[in-house]
Amino acid sequence: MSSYQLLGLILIPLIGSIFTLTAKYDKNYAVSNIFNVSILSLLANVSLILYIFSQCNLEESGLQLVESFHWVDYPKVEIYLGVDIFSLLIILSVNLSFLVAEICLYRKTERAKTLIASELLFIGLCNGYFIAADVLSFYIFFVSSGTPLIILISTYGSQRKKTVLIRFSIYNLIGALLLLVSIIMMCEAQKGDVLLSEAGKINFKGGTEYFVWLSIFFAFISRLPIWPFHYWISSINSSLKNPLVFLVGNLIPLIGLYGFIRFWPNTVPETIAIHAPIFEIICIITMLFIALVSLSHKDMRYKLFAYTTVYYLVYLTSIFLPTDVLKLNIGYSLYSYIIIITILSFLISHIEHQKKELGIYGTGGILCYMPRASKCLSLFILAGIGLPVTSLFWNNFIIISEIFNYNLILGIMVILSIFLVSLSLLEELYKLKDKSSAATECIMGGDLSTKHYIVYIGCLIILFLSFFKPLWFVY
Amino acid sequence: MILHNMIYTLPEVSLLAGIIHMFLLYIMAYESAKVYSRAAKFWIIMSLFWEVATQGKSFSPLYFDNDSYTLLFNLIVGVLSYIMISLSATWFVTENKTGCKYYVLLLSALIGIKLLISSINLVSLLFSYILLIYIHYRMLGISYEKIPSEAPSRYVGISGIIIIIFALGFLYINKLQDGNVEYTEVKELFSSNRKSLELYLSAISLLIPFLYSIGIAPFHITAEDKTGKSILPVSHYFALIAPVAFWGCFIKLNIELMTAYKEELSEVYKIFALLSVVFGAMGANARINLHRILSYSSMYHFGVVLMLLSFFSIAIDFSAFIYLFVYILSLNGCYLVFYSLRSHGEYLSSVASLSGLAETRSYTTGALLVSLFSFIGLPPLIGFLGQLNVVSELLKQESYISLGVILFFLLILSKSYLEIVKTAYFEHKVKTYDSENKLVILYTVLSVICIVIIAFNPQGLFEILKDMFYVISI
Repeated sequence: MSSYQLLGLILIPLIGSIFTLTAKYDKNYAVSNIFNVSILSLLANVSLILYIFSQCNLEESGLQLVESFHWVDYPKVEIYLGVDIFSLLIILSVNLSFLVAEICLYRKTERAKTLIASELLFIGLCNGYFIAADVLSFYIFFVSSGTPLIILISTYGSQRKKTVLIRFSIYNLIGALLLLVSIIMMCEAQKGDVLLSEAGKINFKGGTEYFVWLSIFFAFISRLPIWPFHYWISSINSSLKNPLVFLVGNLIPLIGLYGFIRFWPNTVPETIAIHAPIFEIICIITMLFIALVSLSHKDMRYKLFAYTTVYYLVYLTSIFLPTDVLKLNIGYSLYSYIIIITILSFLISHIEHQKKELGIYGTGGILCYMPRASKCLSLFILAGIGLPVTSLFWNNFIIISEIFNYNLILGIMVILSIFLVSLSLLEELYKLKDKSSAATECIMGGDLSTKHYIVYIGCLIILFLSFFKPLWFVY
Repeated sequence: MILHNMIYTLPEVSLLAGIIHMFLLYIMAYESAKVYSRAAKFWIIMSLFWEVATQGKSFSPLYFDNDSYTLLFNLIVGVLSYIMISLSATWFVTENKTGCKYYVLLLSALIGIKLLISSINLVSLLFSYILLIYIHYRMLGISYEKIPSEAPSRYVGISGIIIIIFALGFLYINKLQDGNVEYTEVKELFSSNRKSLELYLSAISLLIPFLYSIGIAPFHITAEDKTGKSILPVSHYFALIAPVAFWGCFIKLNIELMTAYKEELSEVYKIFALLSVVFGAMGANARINLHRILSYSSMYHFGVVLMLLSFFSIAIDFSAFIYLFVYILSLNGCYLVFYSLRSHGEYLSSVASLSGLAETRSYTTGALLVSLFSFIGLPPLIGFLGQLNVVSELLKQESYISLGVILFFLLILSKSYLEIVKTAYFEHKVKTYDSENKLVILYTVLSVICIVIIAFNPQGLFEILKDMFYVISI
């Protein structure tokens, strides 16, 4: 039963993190070593994921390759790990994104040790979260993934945002404690650990049932930019200038979203599921609000944040629909989406960096002198907002159709939000490419390097192949 | 037989030999703290060796009984003392002091602790308690400030009242029993006279000194003085070693003596526990000195331990012990970091002195972060195991209100920890820190490894702890 492959997905990045921490303080040699270790760890992980894919039955919807480990006796805890195609897709996209990020960022960062060690720790814990098959291990990885986030935000966040860190930590802690109590209540009711798929079968009496499920959802919502938690996450993201940390910040909502995906479609009891419209209304209001704000905002990073938020909330809205057929579509769509936001965050960082290096005040027309960056940014923005070149297109089409099918007004609101946020991104792209507002030609030479260009085009090819067959890499 | 008894005294005799060794070094005018520290470490190791070798044997079976339970607590105290002595040497060297008085008092305190934990008779319990209080008083007196602190005199005054309460309870029981005050006899007395108010009050008077020494609210009057106003090595002792010793004795008293009053005491414990939780969390947020914050934080965590003990069940007592054990490990990690906080030869203790620590001391800040997160109970750190036990046991006992209060005040307590993290990471650097001692770095790394690694595979360690702890219930 236990082949340690899934455990390997957690341990490889953690071991990489420990190796990174042992590197000496040396500006050239050690930094290269840190990045090499990190890239090797991620390559090993991506290879392992592809190998695990090859062993999975693509037609099966339940958990496969289940591994179990005895942890403690007081109280009795057994850790279960398992994957399905959906979780494997998410793991692959996250690991691939960080691999791309590492290659792009190679040696070009401050405090490389803290950054890479925390990032590898984050990846290991995230992998654990995505493959956790029982409620207790799910909790452990959910909460522990917050620790590297706090370190990264503390180290790379803006000094003005220090109060945001405390708010972030307190919200997460409230969510974590509520989740812990609910999960132990589940374990007590079952007299042992509970598999995620069986959580909904536990019978609680009236008020207790509401407490348990609302606590669980509160924990997940605390990681999503939904009202009333929308402020901290946008504050944090807008203060993060390092593209890798920005990427980590953008993946925080994925953790909350994944929690809902794991618990909602099949598991939630009927008495709780009937309250889905409340969640949908909150999602729609937040989505529209953020999309409208992005139109008036001048910061490119905020626009990207708004784009990611709106899409996360579209996925979340689709989870609340009274159907469970969308899960795999969400997985295929998320796979492309995560890679797209990774590349976009790096391209935006590149433009901001050039702007700073050359002492230019505005970015208007800057892409006119960066043909490679211009091509990449245009292609990825268009792919992100729905150009039929990636699996995002087909699967978002199905997801939105299903939302329309469920409720016309809900569908219109979702489309409106996507339209607004796409408009905001296109407007920014137009400004960047508008030759009439180009400041000067002195920015020649600030284009993407050949290495970066090849990596981005490689990613585009990977995404393009997924347009035809999402699991093209499985044989 | 006499030879056997002499061998069984070797753990205590080793420590006594250590004191004589210190005295000789003092006579020979040695002025290096490292020499005293080395001698103290040697005799502690000798004592621990004999402790293990003579396990289960006692030089006076009428008054003392050594079993694996006492060995467990003595080992924890011994290891913590060893670490403390190693690091305190750097403190005394920096302050240009020999530390002779401190090491003598510490070795004496360890003798007192051994006697206290292994006591099975109220006479030896009272004697060892008074001995420890006296040593603590002298320890608090170690100060190199020009203006002497009022803390020792306040401590001795309040402790005097507590000892009188203890003695009154003891004398009443002693009178009823005609001097036969072994735990087993006293337990029978309590069981057969459950309705007697005088006996109940006597039982309470035996517990109050321990609640006071541990720092449980509302008996926490001198708790802040002990860790907050004393020098770093003394604060380290009062924060870790003294509580472990008193808890060891308190848990034993509960199981071996107080079960007759479990229904009455349960409610009393719960009230005291909740008071400690509330005062601890609020107090920690109101302080700006790191030692004092940790003193109040300890009050919160000890309140949680007392809450678990209020159920008077050996299984839950073991959960309480696990919680205490992981808390002590994390607290030790924090104190190790304090030995690194030095600027221009002066040890720092205010939260503000951590400003910008992460800029130059990323590992030290990381170690502090790990310890603080372990206090909060974040997985996968060892603190999570303690929290898991607490939540699980309280839910099993259907103590929902207590659980709610504990978790709510944990959030408030976390705010004080996060303030420390915020200062270390976000504030601008205001101090230039002195270079770190290699030994401090080594111990800090080992501590962090313990906090992280034990959580991954705690089963083997817990099995050993369980076997040693459960002896007390047999």
